[in-house]
Parts: sequence; C-alpha cells; structure tokens
Amino acid sequence: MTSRTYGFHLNTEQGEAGIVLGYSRTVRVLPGEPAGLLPGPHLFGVWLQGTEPVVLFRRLVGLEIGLNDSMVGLSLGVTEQMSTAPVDASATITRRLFFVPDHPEQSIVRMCEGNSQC
Amino acid sequence: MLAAGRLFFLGVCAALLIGCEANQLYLAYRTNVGINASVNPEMTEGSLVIGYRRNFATIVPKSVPIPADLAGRDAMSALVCSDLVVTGIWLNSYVEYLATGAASQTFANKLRDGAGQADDFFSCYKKTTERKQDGGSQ
Repeated sequence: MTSRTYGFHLNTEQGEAGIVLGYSRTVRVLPGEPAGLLPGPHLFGVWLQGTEPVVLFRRLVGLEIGLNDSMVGLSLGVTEQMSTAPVDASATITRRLFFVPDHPEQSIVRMCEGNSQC
Repeated sequence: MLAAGRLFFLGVCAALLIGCEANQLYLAYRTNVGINASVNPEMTEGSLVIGYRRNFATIVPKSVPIPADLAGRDAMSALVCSDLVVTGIWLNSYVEYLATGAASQTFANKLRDGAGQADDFFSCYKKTTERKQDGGSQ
C-alpha cells in the first residue's frame, strides 16, 4: 500500500505522528488482506485501521515535525526510513522478505510461526 | 555494564528514530540529508545532524537467562541474512531472511552439519564460509 502527499500533511499513525510540509511517500507492506484496505497507491493518505505493517518505508522531502513516541524534533531536507516489524524475543518465527520501495508490487513476504522451514 | 548496554540500545533507537522496546528484535534503516534535530520523548537523549547520515542497524534484545548468572541476560537466538542495496542516497531494495528462537537453532545446526537447506534459505552464511575457505578471494 502506497500513499503520497504533497504540501501540508498531518500524520496520526502511531510511530509516525507529526506534520510534513513538502512531499512524502509511504509504502507499507501489510500482512494478509486486511478488510477495507485496498492494495495499491492512495493519494493523500490512508487510514490503516490499526493494522501493523510488516515493512514500513517513508521518503520525505521538505520539513517534518515529528511528535510521536520515537521522535520529537524536526527534519529539513531528505529523509528515507525503512523498518521491518519487530519480533518478540520469545517468538519462534521464520521470515523471508524481498522489498523494493519504488516497485512495492514486486515485494514478497513469507512468514511462518513455530519451528517450521517455510 | 548494564547501564552502558542500555545507553547503547537507546542510542541506536534514537539514531534510527524508531520506538524500541527492550524485548523486541529490530532491523531498521534511515538516511538523512539536510538538517535533523531530535530528542527522545523522555528528553534524555538528543541528536543534531547537519549534512548526511545513514544508519542501518539491528537491535538484538537480551532476553535469555544465563545459568551461571541469575541477574544476567544473553542475546536472543536469531539468524539473519540481510542485503540492503542503495544507489546514491536512495534505497533500491532490501532482502531479508530471518529466523528466531528454535527455528534459528534448527537452521544453524543444519548449516553447521553441512546439510544446508533445500532452497538455500541462509545462503549468505554458505558464501561466507566459501570465502574463508578460498582465502577471501571471492
């Protein structure tokens, strides 16, 4: 799922909350097929309904004022950020990931829980 | 020692600007070109970057009890191959093979025994072994 914004952008997603003035492009690879969320590009943002992405990629050009649980501050210029879903220390999982931020439709994610070789 | 470890843990999280919890494994990447000034929400750490900075880091939590030290903790079991491709300042692609817990031990045992995986799941470890055996010429 890709969203682009131009100009003023208010973000309320957890971990990303803040204000962007400029251009932003966010790619989220979501697990499964969440109800009510259409894959593909979404102009001017999208509501994720609390779904946690497996991969989160953000590209920002301009001014960002971050007001979230990971950052309080500002960034002026170009910022690229990518993170994968955190894994609990007690979890036994296997995850394969191929992620292309400019062509998210080519991305592949395969996750298995337990001691299986998926 | 614990305080130093915690500071390093928080420092990496702050550099990547991700909210970290002490019992989770993180892999993250961040590039800044320009000006970046930030503090963590507790206002205990801050950073100022003017120019260019790129971070790619893995944060492995210490969650496993150490038998000889009841208060100590060792890093969790994880086996990861990751490949980050960057052109200029832009991220091109990211490939990751990750196993944690008992799955990572199963994969590690097979790699150690030379049995490998049917589909070369952790092929990067094989390549590392081949490089060492060839004297690093590849």
